[in-house]
Amino acid sequence: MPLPSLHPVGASFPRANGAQLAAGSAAYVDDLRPAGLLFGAVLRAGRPHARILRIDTRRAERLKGVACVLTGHDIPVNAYGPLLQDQPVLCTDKVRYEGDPVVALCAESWAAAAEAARLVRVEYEDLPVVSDPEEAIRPGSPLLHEAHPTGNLVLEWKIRRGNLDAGFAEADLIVEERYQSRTQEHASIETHICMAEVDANGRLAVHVSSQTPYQIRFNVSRVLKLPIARVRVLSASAGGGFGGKHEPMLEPLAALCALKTGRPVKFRMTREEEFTASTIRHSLAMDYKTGVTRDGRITARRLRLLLDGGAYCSYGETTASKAALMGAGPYRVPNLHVDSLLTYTNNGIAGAVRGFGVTQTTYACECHMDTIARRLEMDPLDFRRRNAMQAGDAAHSGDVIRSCGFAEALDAATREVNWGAIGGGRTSPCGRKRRGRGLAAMIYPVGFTAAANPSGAFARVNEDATLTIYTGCADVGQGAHVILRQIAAEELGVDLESVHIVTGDTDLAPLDLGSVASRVTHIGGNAVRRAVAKAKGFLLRKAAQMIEAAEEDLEIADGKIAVKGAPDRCRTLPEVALKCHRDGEIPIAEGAYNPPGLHLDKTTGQGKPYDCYVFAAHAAEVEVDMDTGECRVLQLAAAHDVGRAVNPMNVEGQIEGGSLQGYGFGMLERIRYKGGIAQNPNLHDYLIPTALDGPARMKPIIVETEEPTGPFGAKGVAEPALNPTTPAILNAIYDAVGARITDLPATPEAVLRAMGMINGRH
Amino acid sequence: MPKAERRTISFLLNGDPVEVTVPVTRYLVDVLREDLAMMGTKRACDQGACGSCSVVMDGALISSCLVLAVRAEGASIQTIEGLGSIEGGLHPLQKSFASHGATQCGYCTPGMIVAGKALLDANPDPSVEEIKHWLTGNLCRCTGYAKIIEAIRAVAEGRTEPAFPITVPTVKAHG
Repeated sequence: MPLPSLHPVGASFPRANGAQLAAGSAAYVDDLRPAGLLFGAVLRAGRPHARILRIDTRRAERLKGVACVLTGHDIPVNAYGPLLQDQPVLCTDKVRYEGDPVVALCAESWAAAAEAARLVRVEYEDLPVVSDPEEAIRPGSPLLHEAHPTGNLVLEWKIRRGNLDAGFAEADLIVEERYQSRTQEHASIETHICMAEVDANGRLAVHVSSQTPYQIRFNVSRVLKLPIARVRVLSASAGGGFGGKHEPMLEPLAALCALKTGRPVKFRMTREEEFTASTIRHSLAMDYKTGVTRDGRITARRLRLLLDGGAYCSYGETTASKAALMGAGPYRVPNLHVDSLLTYTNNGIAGAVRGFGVTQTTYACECHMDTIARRLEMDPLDFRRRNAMQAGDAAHSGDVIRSCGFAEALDAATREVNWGAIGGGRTSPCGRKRRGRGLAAMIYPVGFTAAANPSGAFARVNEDATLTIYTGCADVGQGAHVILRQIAAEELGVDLESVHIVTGDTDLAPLDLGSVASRVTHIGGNAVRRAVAKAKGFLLRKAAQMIEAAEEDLEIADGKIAVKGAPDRCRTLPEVALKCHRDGEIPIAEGAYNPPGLHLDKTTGQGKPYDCYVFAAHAAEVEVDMDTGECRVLQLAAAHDVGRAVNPMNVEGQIEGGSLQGYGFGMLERIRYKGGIAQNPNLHDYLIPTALDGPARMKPIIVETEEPTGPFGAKGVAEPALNPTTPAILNAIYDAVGARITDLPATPEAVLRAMGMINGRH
Repeated sequence: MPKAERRTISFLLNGDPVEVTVPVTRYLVDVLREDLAMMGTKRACDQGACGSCSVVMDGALISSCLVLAVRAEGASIQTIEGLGSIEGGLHPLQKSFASHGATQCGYCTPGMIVAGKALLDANPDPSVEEIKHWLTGNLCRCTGYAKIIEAIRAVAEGRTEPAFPITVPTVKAHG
């Protein structure tokens, strides 16, 4: 399973800034305190749907210590959004969710800013609240965006493949189920924050904690009508992202305040705003219908996915399309129809979250697979093996899968938990407890092609043959920078310590789409590798002259460039690098990667939407308390096909962290809304997993495959890690006590309800 | 906005005496960060739910966002800066966190290490289960806690050598 070894690619180097992080000396935006700093506050709607009649900021403006007050009329282009520009920077005529921003201001202290926000008077006329996505798209429902051509239906994604009716006619058994997923907040430990300042030349510097610094630069320049060259975005240490630190929610406000006051201005969300104002995970109602033959072959599948998109489109299209394209799972499904519908409602604002729709569909699909296997009286493992995708198969878009470690992942995860010997409702040694086993699998795409997806990098070989890489890839905790250094070192043939990274400044490195969609290792890595390969070309050309040999006969090893098979005919790398510089042939090069795509037909979902695919299988053993409904995960094995593991320790860290986030999605987390108002917007009433939650024993397993499009065969791992965890646990609960959980999270009450022990609504 | 009464307080901060005049309504986390520039102590929830602002006060692990600064009068406070620094030498727990991959985004890390230090002071050889119980007041969203627990166990077992060498720092282009 492991690929032939390379070095430094394939070795577990710790991240370079680990020591600063552990010392507490790494600077996050909240730690930046320039002289004259002003502190911002945002007045938000606090109501889910209303027309704004009047905004009176006079009392706030008169408060001592207030420097600047902004309304939407101050924003030159007051609309943004990645697909539809349907979201105002500050609302002027209407608010569509409780966190919609209406007034932004800054003052001499956080307290003065908060006090000033309380003095703003806004008169509203409340409008009917749209809180149910099914109701939202019925004719006559109150509209959130009156000008949107399809009403509260934001958009629709379809897959049409094969002949559905013929597929169902061929089936011996047809199973239909509905699953409901719920919201999830990213819950990065650091809340959203930014600081903007204006330099002596009138240029804006925006310090961010962002996954996407270049998108921040683009958006700030766009909404403030500034040339991009006047906006510099600087990345401080970032305290977690998970898809949440993606959108320009605070940066334009801080930038405009800084321009108006000439002073540095900081905006920071409270923990409550994290829940009520920033983006959250889409909740999905998912109808699955599958036809199978008696011997367990899938003949047809039909999916209807209804996404609650909240008040604005945000990354809803990406979520709806990924859910559609991946929703039928890592299985051969010859006849498939998917309808994925994104709706507007007044419930929060759903956007990018680790897993992008596939977390939700994996939960539904894999519980559905479990139900079918049981109806067929087949082992769920055998049923999955029977239908598993393999390399050379088509994904549900018709795109060919080039590398696939799915079979190996299924084997490895089930072997790790001793699949054949556990579960089946056997009683636990103590009390009224029963044990079950559960399995779940996943396909996830890496490197989307439906939209531009570029990373650029510069590589410069210095006079002593050390290497400097300029990259715009943001490291928000996932360890991107050590991975890019490993890839660069491998390509040049030097050790890791010879590679330095210059990053965190949009002035210095070329455009990078961002640390999103599990794309950094694959796409950022390809860009870095290409840049280094070009810079290496200078060295090889120079060495060929110096040694008087043909360039193609040379190789780099042990700090030297030598003729293959004649190691004595060589020059040291520093000698060659210095000669390049002295001859004026500076070894500096750019590299870029933007995965090639084919036209994707939006009426059939057929084409080539992604560069490659990763696969995973999680196997869980769970103990359910028959009296209380409490579930304890005794063990979880999480096997992930990641392509080549560039840094196994980082890969393990992603799998361990992702799996626990997946545990939270399935077992603990849900923002509860009442008429569009979040009822639990804090970390006491909305629980994320602690060290005591989650599996008593957790085993990450790396499955290596060689992906031809990836740098040294690498694919990715970040988002996929959390997707199969929930259904693996829920299937184990079913195996233990025969209770099928069809709504989340699986709290003890929900389990007792599914067991028929208590009644009532969720 | 009524002005809060101010009071001068003195306490030991990482062994050094400090004196600071602050509003009586100000929390310890804000005095540490804003008045004393001890930026290693993080604030993240302001409700005592996440443990990012953990410090040790007179031997007890506390959330400094829940304690008014005036309560620190005469106390001895230890923050992450008091454990060690890159210049002055890192504490074994800090080294262990860095080398075991126990930091991802790092925002919970100072609080987590301070909590780990308080645990090892009270119980030099905690089991994995004891570590998990002790850390329930410190939330981490990145790591799943596995490598954090491993890093603390390594120090308890006296495995001070890092699993891997700490390599050169990333060059930040600014500041």
